[in-house]
Amino acid sequence: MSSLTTALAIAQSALRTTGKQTSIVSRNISEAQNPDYTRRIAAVSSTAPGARSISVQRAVDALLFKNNLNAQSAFQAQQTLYDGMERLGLAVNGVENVSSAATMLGKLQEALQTYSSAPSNRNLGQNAVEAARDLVRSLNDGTNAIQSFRGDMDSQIGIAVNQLNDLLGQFKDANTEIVKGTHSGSDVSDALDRRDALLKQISSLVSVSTFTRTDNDMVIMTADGATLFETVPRSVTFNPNAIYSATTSGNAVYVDGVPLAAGAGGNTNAGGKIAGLLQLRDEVGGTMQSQLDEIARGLITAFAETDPSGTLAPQAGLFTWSGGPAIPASGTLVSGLAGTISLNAAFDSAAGGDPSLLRDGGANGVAYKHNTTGAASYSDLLFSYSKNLDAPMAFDPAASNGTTLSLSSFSTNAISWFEGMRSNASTAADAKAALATQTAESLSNLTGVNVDTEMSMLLDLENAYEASARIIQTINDMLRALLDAVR
Amino acid sequence: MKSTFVSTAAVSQALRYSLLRMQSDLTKAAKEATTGRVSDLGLALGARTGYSVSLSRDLDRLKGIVDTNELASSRLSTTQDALTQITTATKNFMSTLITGSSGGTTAAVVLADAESTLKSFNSVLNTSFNGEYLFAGINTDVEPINDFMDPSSPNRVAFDTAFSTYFGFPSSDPQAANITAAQMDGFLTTVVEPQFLGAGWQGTWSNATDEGITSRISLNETAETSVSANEQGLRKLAMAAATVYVAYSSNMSDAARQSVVSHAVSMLGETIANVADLSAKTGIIENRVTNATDRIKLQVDLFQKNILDIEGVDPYEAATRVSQLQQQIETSYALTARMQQLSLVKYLT
Amino acid sequence: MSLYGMMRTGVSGMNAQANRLSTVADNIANSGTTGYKRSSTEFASLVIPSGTGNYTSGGVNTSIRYAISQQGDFKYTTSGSDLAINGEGFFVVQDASGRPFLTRAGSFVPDDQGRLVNAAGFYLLGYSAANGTPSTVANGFGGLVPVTIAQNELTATASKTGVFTANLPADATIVAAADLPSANGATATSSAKSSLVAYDNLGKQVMLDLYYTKTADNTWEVAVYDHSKANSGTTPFPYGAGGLLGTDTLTFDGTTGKLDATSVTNITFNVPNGASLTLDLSKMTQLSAKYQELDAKVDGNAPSGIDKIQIDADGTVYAQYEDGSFKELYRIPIATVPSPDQLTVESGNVFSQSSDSGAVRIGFPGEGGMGSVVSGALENSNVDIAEELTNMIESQRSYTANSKVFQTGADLMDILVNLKR
Repeated sequence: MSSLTTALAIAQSALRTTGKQTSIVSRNISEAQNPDYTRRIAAVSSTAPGARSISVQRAVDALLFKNNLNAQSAFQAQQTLYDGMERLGLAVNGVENVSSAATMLGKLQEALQTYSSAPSNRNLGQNAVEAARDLVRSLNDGTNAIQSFRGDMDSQIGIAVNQLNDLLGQFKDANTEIVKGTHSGSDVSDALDRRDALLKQISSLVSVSTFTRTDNDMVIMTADGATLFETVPRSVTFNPNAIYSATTSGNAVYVDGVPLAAGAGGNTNAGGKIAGLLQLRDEVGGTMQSQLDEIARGLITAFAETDPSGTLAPQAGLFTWSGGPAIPASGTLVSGLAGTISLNAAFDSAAGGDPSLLRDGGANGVAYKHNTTGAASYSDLLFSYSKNLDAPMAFDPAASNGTTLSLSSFSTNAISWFEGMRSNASTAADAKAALATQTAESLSNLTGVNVDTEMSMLLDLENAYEASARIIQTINDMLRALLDAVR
Repeated sequence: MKSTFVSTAAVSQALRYSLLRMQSDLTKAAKEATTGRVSDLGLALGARTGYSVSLSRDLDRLKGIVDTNELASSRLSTTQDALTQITTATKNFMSTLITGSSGGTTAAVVLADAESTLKSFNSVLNTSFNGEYLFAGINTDVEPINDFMDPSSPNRVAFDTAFSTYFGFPSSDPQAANITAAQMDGFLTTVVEPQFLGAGWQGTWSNATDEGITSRISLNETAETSVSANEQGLRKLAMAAATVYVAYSSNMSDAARQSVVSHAVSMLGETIANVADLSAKTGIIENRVTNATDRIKLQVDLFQKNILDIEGVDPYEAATRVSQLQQQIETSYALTARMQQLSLVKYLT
Repeated sequence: MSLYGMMRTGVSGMNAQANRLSTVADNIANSGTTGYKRSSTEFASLVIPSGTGNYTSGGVNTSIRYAISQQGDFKYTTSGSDLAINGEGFFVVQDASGRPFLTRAGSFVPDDQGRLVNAAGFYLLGYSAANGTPSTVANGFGGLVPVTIAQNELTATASKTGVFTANLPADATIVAAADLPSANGATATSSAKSSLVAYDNLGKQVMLDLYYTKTADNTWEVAVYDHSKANSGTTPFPYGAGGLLGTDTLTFDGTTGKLDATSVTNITFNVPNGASLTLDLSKMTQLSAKYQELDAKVDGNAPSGIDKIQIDADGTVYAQYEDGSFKELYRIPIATVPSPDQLTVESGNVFSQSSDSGAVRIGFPGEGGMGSVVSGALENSNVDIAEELTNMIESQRSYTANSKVFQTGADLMDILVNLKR
């Protein structure tokens, strides 16, 4: 049926459609700077005569979104690793490694050299003992720094796990709304935006993979296949450990009962912040600690006092430990030794000891005295200590820093190991940041809002609205003409 | 040509991200330009960082050795000096004796010279350097030579006892005038010589050890950098001076004195040869130390160059980078401002 | 042939135009009434036999027509229970006393008892889906009940079927028999684990732990546990008594990585306090990639209240529950008659069957020439004001003309009467 009334109805419906479209355009413009907002497209379709219905579509690219999620989680893990290593390196080795065990060992060697050039000079002996004290302090402080760092990482894991559980709870709300809305055909764009934003946040914590079931119902799994969300969130559990010592091994994070794998390597294979934190706590912190422990063990061994006649077993000399005066077993890691190594009180004038024992030997009794005549310029023992530091010895493979090399090289290799990993982490972080930024940019280009486009669309809509209004006015005029005819 | 959709957020984000990167690069480049070293050693070197740490550690050690070698060198040159003094004293004493034996000088002059030789022998060998007795071997905290002039010092007591035991009376006894040259000869060869040149020396005359001070003169080289007071030449000088002193301070016959003097002259001759030998040895060691120091200094230079190669940056390049980055950032600022202006909204009324 | 005859004819013409004006008045009055169908008048001449020499004027017969079959424009609304029919047919409604009517006025809202009632007070009728998918009774109103929504407050469905598809990592290490999850020992290890939510008879969520464990090359054990029986420590093993719900063995073809022809393709077990659940595993693969879940779905739903009502184009009334699940409650039929325009029009925009219209035929929307149901729209009246106004003017002129005829007849009668003076 076509008549003026129909024309009026069509114009009216056109006004409604234009109004709806305008509201979508204005929403787009208002959210132009929201990175989680996906551009809405008003799809208009004609149904019955004079009627048009509008469905709201979102500009999505599932593949790119997935790429962006992966890039984000890889970047988060890498950045976490790099930041953590930077902090740890500064805390343990100091700026440019000035307080590292390697540097302190060099200072000790230098002090020994000076002392051996004038063994009669007690001050130089005292000086060498002070250098040894600094080395002990470096090892002790390093251990404390590593362990408090591990504790920090542990509490951060706890926070991240709580955050993850919280996000999964919010995800459930958004997902339920989407499932409902999709089935009833209502506009769920806002919920989808919210769900995507939540998914981004979740993937910055753990690396995820997803699939969607009927009615847009999403299932989230970790990259290892453990279920994170399916209809309801799965619990992610973690038992934090407030205090860390070198022998403490941290608890794992369980996702639906499956332990979450920590990352490995400088260019870490981890995805998400939690895996990065686990790697820092266990691999980085643990290896660094065992390297310090091996340096401590090497020191005790290198400065052990020997019996000149060779009958008695060597005993701890300048450096001693909780198990002293026996020296630790060769080539075997003693966990936490770097934290318990101490300066032997017999050598420490501050504790009533005598620094010249370093020259003469005999801290463990007369049988261990090398300078039996007490000659003031006896330097052989001092030379032997220096030699020991440069002689190859056996190290535990667990410290992943070589097995047969001199203590002095071992200490610098430890720095190489750390800085090599940190440098890798930095390069990888740059690359992953670039990828994350690039995918985010591509995604934003595909799904984001271009204000200029929207503005030009708004101009179109303005024209359409004006035309419809003109039609209504015209029809009004025509009816008035008719009514005027009735007298 | 394919034109793609660009979102407004992406446009501003992209600029922001690259700006951030440039700014962080700028701070790094500025630091490198001012310090001449890479801004973050660990990041720049990675697994080679340990090498750099080990280099600078070795560098410090080498510098330490240069310092301690200086000490050894001065000790050696002081020793050399002392040896020269000994030689001079020996030569003087020898000429006095030769002149005396030919009757050119009086007994009193010989006695005075013997006494002064003994004193200078004592004072030279008891020289201390940097708180250590030069000729004490490694027993550097004890005066190496006892004073013969002191009647109660162990060397004097031992000598006097030996004299009394051999002749039956002390040297100051008037009977000393009866000692024949043959008797004196016998005394000198059977009693005095073992006391000075044999095991009797240590404990009576000397507190020094035979072992000298060992010094590390390079990373893996040690050298004995002192001369012990127990060297034969020095003992012989002591013996010559001591016997002449005793002979001339008692009223011995000229024949007996003559026997002492002839013995002493031959001893002094050996002393001169021996001390020259010691002096040569010391010179060689001095040379070794100097050579080692030179070598180490070369090494230090090399290490420094190595460290610079590893850690250094070309300051010119760094400065260029700074100005380039500055320019880029300024361009980026200008662009940002321009792009913010670029909006359709401006043209809609 | 008489003046009286002519005057009568004029009166008949005036009556006819008065009728027409009445329909116009009604039409204009109801131009905004939902589902109102325009009425119109059709005239027929009434001829009185006359001879060749004279003419006996007749009159005009009026008959009223309704444009029932003419569809009005749609007006879109925001209420999902506002219904319109796009195409032929009527909603079946009943009044308070239970008498059925047909209507196209679909502005329904739930009343205090949850029955959908339109503006004129008629209740919408439909077939209940309570006993399975309804079918129509083609030639009568039998089986129709008022569509009532409130009574289906809470509902729950136990899980009966499900699908689980995943890739099992071909390179996984083989787990010793003693450590298999099915042995339920404290040292049990699995190659992969997932979990699924199912529902018991009361709609309670039951979390199922699924363990896949490689027992030999190309052979995997699948074990299903009730998560609520899990050990509270770091490892869920050992589960409490009754924790193991089912176990089976999957064998894979070593070359294709798909399930072997001889392998089981599903696992069936009883959900605690629930129905027997068959999980379809037929699409599982075993390729050299990491464990990845590809599809997982279990039917059933938790008890929840109705969130909203949704009506499909095919007339199905769904209840959507708070948890997002759906349930079919009613199906709204559409009725039609062979001659819709001949239906009897009654108050409240309803029509009833008349002898002329033919018998009512009932079918579902979209089937056999029936229109489809549009939710969120109302059908405007099919009155065109312009046309009505034109008709009115036309009638007015026509009435005036008829009155002139009458007046002329009266004047002539005057003259005739005045002839005798």
